[in-house]
Amino acid sequence: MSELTTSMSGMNALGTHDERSRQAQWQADKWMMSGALFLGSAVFGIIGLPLFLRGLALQLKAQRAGLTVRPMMVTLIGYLVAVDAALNSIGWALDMVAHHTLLARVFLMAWGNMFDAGYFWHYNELWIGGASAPGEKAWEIALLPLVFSMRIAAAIGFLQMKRWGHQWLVITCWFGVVAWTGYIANMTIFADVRYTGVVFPVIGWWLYDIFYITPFLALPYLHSVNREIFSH
Amino acid sequence: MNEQTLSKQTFSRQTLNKQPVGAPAISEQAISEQDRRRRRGLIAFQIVCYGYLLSMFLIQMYMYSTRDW
Repeated sequence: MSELTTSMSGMNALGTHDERSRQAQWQADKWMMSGALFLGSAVFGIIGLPLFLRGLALQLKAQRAGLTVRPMMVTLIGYLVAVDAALNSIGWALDMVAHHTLLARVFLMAWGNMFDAGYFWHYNELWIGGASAPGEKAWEIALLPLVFSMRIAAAIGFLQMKRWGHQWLVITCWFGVVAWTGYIANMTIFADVRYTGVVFPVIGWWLYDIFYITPFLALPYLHSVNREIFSH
Repeated sequence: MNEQTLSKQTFSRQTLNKQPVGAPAISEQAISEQDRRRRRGLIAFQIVCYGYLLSMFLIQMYMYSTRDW
């Protein structure tokens, strides 16, 4: 076999491998994206989880078959950040602009009754409506249009293995550190307002919120991962 | 290609030799020292973050034990 023939067949095999890898990744991503959309809506989360897990299993299978797919850690962090930002956005968007709807009054006041009286005490009594806890609205205004929308965009870029996606995920994870440091200080300072009369004070709130608080702990990974795997 | 392989590749001598002509030479020792410092910084960051979260939780638990919530 001549050198040229060997080289051409090698390129052909590489092309086939590349094509098969792309197809496998897209197939897995379709399941995971559908799952993430449901998970991010909060109410339909129970439908989203099996869809997401199915996508994850497909990606794992492709990886085991030797195809070039996205690293598992990138997939998990990317979707976790997207879902986390979507969940925060939907709850706070309801509280900011849809606080008089039946959905908000059921969903948010139930949350207030169970874990955080900031969403129960004098609800809808301020001129702006929604939660009346001290400082809560300021956090919503600062974090919703800035941090969470940026985090969803960054997570999408990160999942596409773009360099800007990695950079913006690092930036917004640092935003997350600032946001949660401040928000938890606020919860502690106004603890009497937020925990009085609720069904599960302190422990209930922490059990529920720890999953929202922890995504910024992806920072050590993001700072130490090889940046060359993210294309321009 | 998995992450570990890629990570090793970045710090391999082959990659280091691809430095542009005229660029200051970076030794493997310097990179590993930089990497070590970064890791140490990130560990300190995690301890501070976890410590802060834990202390806020403990303050709230203390308040919970003394108040009629």
